[in-house]
Amino acid sequence: MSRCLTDRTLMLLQAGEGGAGARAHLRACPPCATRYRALEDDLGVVAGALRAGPPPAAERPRLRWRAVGALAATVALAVGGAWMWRAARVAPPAGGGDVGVLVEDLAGTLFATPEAVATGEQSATDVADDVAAFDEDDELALLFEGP
Amino acid sequence: MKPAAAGQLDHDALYRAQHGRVLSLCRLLLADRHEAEEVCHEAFVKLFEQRELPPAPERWLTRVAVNACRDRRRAGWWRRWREHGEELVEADHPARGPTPEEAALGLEERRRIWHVFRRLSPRQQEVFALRQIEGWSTDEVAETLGLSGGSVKRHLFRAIHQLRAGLRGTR
Repeated sequence: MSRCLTDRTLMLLQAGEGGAGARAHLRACPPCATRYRALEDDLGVVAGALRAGPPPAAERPRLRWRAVGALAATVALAVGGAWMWRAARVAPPAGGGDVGVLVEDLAGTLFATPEAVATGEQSATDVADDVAAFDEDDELALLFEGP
Repeated sequence: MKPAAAGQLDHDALYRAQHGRVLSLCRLLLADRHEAEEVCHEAFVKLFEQRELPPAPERWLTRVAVNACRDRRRAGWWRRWREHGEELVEADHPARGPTPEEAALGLEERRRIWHVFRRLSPRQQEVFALRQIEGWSTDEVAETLGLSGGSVKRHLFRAIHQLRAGLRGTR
């Protein structure tokens, strides 16, 4: 008995092609005949599924993923919007007693000398001198003046 | 008047006989009902615009439809749209009720087969559809698609190999 047929030869036979020798082998060889029937069965199932059209259930996962994507985008937009709103918001001065401290901190930051920045030092007298050079009301007016 | 009436009759008969087949083929290649209907309509319009019916109008229609499907697939917008929107339409509006053959198929198996079929190359899809679904001979497929017979067999073998592998994955 000759060697068993390859898958390619079986496919050709199923397609109505292939040589007489291959057909003779197919008739004489039970394993090849079994493989041939399996091929025909598979092709019948595939053709039936394709003729039936796309399965509706196959769409559900995509619908779910789209819904999840839309939800994620909405949440991301909400979080981003809230973050931007908080970042853009200017905290109003808490009260009259804190204004002096705020001005001192600001003046210390704005008018710090390079040496002081390098050493990380900033004496209270330096800050007090700088602050004294400005009228407190004028400073506040400058700080909270609109564009 | 008589020839016109006879021609009209031919067109009507041809449309009734071939519309379902061409539509199924387009739907298979495009995997979208609306796109398939458009392409099918275009193919029939082109056929009826011919001064005379071609000698083999069925094959002529098939060739025009397959080429039109290929053109649509090549268009980038179509691919993007198909991947994101088409299947919702299929899900919401099933074309028809299940046949006994469909009912016998497991849904998972059917889904898997379609998934694998869509992953085939366009040529493999065309060859498989014409050879296995339409039942054309290798020579007819080769002539229609402008391929050699050996090339048709190669595409067909690869398509069958992948589809069977996908089918075995569900069993």
